[in-house]
Amino acid sequence: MSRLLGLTGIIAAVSGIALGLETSRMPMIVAGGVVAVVLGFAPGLDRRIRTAGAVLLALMALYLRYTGHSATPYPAVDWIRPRGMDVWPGLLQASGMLLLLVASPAVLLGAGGRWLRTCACAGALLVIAYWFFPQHFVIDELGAAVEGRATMPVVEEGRIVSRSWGRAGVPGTPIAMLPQVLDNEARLAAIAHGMGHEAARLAGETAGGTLRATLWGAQRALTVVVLLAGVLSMAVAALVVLGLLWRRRMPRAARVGAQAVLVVALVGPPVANLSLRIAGLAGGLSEAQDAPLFSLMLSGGMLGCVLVAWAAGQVMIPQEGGEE
Amino acid sequence: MPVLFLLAALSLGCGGTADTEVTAPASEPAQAGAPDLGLLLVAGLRTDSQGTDGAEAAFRSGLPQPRVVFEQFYSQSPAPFSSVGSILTGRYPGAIPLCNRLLSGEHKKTEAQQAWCARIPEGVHTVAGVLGLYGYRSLLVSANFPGADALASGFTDHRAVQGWTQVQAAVDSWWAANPDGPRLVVVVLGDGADTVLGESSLKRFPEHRLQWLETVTPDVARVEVDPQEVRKAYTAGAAQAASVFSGVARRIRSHATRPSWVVVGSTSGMSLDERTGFGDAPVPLLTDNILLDRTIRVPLAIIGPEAAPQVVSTPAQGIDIMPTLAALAGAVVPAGAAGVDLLAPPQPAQVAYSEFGDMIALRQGDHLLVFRCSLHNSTALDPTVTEQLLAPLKTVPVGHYALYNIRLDPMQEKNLRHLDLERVAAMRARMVAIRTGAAAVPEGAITPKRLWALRMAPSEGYW
Repeated sequence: MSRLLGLTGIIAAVSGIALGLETSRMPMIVAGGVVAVVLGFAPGLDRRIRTAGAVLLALMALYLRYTGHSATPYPAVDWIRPRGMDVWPGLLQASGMLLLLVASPAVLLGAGGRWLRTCACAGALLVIAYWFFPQHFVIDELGAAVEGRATMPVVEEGRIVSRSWGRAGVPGTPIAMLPQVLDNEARLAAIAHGMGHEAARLAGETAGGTLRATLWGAQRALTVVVLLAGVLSMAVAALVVLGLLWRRRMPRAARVGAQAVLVVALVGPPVANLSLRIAGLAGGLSEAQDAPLFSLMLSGGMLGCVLVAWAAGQVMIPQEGGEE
Repeated sequence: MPVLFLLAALSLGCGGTADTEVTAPASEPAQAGAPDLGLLLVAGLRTDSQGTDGAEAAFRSGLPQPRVVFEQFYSQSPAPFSSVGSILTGRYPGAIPLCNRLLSGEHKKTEAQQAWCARIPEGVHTVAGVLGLYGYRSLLVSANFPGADALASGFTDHRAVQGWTQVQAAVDSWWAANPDGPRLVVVVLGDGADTVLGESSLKRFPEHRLQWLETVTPDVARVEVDPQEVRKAYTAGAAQAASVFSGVARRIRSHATRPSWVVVGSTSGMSLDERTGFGDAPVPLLTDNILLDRTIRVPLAIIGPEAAPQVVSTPAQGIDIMPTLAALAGAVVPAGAAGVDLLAPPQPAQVAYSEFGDMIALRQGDHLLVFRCSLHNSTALDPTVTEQLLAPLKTVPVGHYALYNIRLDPMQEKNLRHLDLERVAAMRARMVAIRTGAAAVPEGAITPKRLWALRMAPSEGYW
């Protein structure tokens, strides 16, 4: 599995150079890739060093992904956008998931040394704490169009209507605000969908309406799945805590389920975004042609980050779990 | 004739609606005795009545006499970028329109998305551009001041230097290269983080990033600082800025026969280790990312040959600087510039208005009214801020408004909102009038696409 880490490093280094023109962070991406190559291929390197290096690389990639985020009007699962008070709670939650991805394979097998157990404990703490940490959420409000107020083209029941777009700051914890956040995501998708249609109409594009509607329909559904996977990650965290205390091999269904939830929560968004982007490009949607390389870098960065973390978790299994 | 032609063009390009902004183009060429002018600003220095243990005094004592000192001077934003944009144009930030700099993310990408509000747009005249029509040559020197390029509109030259010690050389060389005609020199000093603390080694969270954590989890993350150490560093920064400005002012006043005037002050203030003024939430350490009296009330002095030493205690504000410099140069203020001449007799009903993120503040008399509608990470250009402000007082959450007597309570410890409802209503009416009038975002500036970009921008703080 360390080869996988090395291969990921090669991909990161090459893609970092290839996409360097699109981001000022190219040197960090390339450097991270080179380190990953060393960690993956250097002979005689202790597995713990490989793992620790991989974890750090994954966290660095995650940081780059979060702080490199920009507004995306194109159909995409925008799971980075802060729904609460700041970027950092979401970043810490995602860091927790990554740590669980690294540590859970060994821990759920009843194995794991001190550092891996610490890693699992920190991951579980971050994942659970996020949902109960009070924040202010910005909730978007759509109302009747009023003269003199900002109006937006919004898709409602298949038709574009003009609506006023207001906002309100609402205090609450993420877990309590979840229903409102889910509704809010649907409203934002309706606005972005309407903007896409309106921009196309102004540009004289007559085709693509059905494809655009389909992509936004997929986006709305996938956003719900990703958000709920985030909630379910609390159950994974609880399971990992149980594994830390029990120190026995968990049933296979629990281990596979835990990995599946984490993978959906972490890999789902970039895979969905790449798929939506490719479908949009293939269908000739003009908005899909806006900064495709930048979009590829953002999705690719997250995929690489998860891949490195997953590889690190797999590296630990033979030594700690004895399954390989 | 070319000057008249340019002035006519200036009057046509002032923006805004034709019925409200009647331009009075200057009809005279440069005056024979036009003075050399200076505008010297440092980021993050607040007034001294709020417990800085002598920072403002150190700043003032380093400056030449005679001078007019403004005790109740307010910047239009606690963000130095927006504040300087406002000072240079004589407009409130929203009316330029100017959003503050985005604080994180892939700047290249996000600033391009906000290009319409990321710099002083063409058609909005700066003091340098206006004085240029009167024969002035102008220089902007920015020292470690992020975004200065976007504010250099209308200047003949812009020199960006990294260290404050390089400012004098930049001014001297430009001064020597431009010996003829009246000159305008503008200097803005920063430390890259909106403060005067760049040279200090104070322990703190990275500004704008982790500062929220610093206040919400004191057991885990609270940074302990020595109050004396903070004030010592703050005062040292103020003294250093005064030293730089003193040298530049000497250069500006060096002409044997031409008179000169120098306006010296700060772009914006900052909160040091104080925690009050933000409702129940503690204010983060060493920040300017919240609208408080101490983040917007700043020192200002005007030094000139005919300036009888005096202290002005009526409220004045950043947008007044442009009309003041224009009056000294004998220039006509373009339409859209909303300030007044600081050297003219003060108007009794004068107020000061600031806005930042989801917050608006109005100073009138001894009182400061602060409006805040809890739109985290938002920009003051967001129309929702106006809509929330316009909502009837009875329908908005109690926490949206706070009233303080700044003369008695400069640290904003006691909210008088419930004790003086009449004053709240009167000041709110004035706030609404400015927000929807002189400070309003120009009609048509915010398109659906721009509004989306504004609201979706990843900012990690108010901007």
